Amino acid sequence: MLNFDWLGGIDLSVAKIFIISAFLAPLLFSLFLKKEYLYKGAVDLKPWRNLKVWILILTLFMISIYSYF
Amino acid sequence: MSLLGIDYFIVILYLVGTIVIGLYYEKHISSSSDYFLAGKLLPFWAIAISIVGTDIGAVDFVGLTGQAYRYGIVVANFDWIGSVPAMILAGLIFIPYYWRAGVYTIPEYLGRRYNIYLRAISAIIWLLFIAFTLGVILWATGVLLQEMIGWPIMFSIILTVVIVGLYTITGGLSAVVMTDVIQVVIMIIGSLAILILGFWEIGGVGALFEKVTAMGPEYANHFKLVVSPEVNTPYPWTGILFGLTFVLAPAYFIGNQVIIQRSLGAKDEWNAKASMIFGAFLKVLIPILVVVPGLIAVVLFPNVEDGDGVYAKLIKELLPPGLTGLVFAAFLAALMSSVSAIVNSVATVWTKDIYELFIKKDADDRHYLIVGRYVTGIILVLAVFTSPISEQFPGIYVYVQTINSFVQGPIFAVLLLGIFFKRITQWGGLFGLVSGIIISGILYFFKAEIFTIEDPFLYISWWSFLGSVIVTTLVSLFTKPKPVEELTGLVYGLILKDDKLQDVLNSKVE
Repeated sequence: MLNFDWLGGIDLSVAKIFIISAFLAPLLFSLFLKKEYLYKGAVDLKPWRNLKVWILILTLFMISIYSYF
Repeated sequence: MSLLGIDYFIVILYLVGTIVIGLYYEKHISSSSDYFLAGKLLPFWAIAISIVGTDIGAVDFVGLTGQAYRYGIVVANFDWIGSVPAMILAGLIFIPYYWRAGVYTIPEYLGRRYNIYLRAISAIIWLLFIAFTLGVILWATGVLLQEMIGWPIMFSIILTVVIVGLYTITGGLSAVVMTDVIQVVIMIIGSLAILILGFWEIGGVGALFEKVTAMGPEYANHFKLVVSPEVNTPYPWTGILFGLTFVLAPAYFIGNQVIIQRSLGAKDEWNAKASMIFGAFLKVLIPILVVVPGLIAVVLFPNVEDGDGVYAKLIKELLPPGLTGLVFAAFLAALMSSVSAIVNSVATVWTKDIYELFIKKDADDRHYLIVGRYVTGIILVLAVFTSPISEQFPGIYVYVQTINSFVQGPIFAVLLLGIFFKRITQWGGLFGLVSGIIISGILYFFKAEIFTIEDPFLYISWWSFLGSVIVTTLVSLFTKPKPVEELTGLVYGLILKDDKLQDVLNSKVE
């Protein structure tokens, strides 16, 4: 049990979905956050300061890497 | 291998530049907040670069390249799945939370949320491990430089300590972060030189794929990020997901003082949040600089027994004079950025969580600033004297890192439960922390009997975390929680939202 042998039979493509989900979860979480919370403390509301956009770019890049390798 | 005149010129230029930049920030220091939290003036990009610089030490350059040589790109998981989700969550949830709680250190938070014992225990555990790690890092890098260019070990150590001491004692966190920026830029340029010349030598990216996969079945997993637990590897996907992604990575980016302290020095809440997320962008690039050279080495130097030796071989075979100096400057930069960050954090935890709490409570701010500076100097001197201990214990670097990973799971469990659940009690936290560390110890000492993989530190992290969660929860259910008004600002549902609540928190601190 401590060796996770109960997960040994899982196909690697399914394992990859679990890993990719770990990237998707923070992205989904960020999408539900209010704009005021994300921009709090910012000196202006310029679109480049929207952290949701940063997270989206980062997550899509990581998912493409994990999908390929 | 030896450095030529041009190489020495570049190394000296780097060292002098670092000292000048570091000393420049001395004039900005007039209070303990300026010293420990950079006066809360840091921009997100500098913090992000500093976090990445602190994370990558000189020994990691060699170690990660060596691991990539042995196991392939699976090592990149430490910078990708083992960093990016945790850094995003740290930026979105935890950094703003610490920011609003107005804390200097993680033990300080634990003390407010639980009790003074938990604050003291976590501070002492952390100080012991980090201070000991400092000596080990210095010695390991000294040995590395001796093997590569023949510098005497103590010469490298004293050189590093004197330079880091000059700018860290005088300029505090501002100097640490700003010199980190320069150091990371040098690390990136030096690593890129090896990468570009390596690709040139083997014929490009396509040739790398073709040549490595053509080398035989033992290299079949070298381009896989997700590896089966049935393969003999320390990095099966189960360990990567449960141990690294769910425990070690969040523990490092959410509960590690060295990392958090930088973000708490941000000039506003947005910069604090953005620092972690921008840092995640930078972390994405790290494997390209340290893992890909390991794969290039597979093609250029097949059948090397000690993977840790391939980085030195790459430098020797690929780099012309001048660039060799730049790569050694990058090595020193990696060492200095890690040492300065550790020293600054140790000084903060000692001053705020031990000295201010137990030794001298009501001194003026100037006094704590002076204490912080003295402590920084004393830690560096102690590190010089304790570093040769490593010589008596071969493999101690790996040992210390392993033991350190055991403590991270339980501390993270207690931190996480304390942040999210007001029903968690002070005794639950205390018993959870201690029992989690005991579980780690038992699993480690019986690892040969219990685990089937080579080095089960990822599994041990997960199970000790889980054990700590269970004990903390069970003990909390049978003990009395703190009144809600005492938890205002310390539990997520009761987070500070306005100035009135901030006043409540400040009065509680006093």
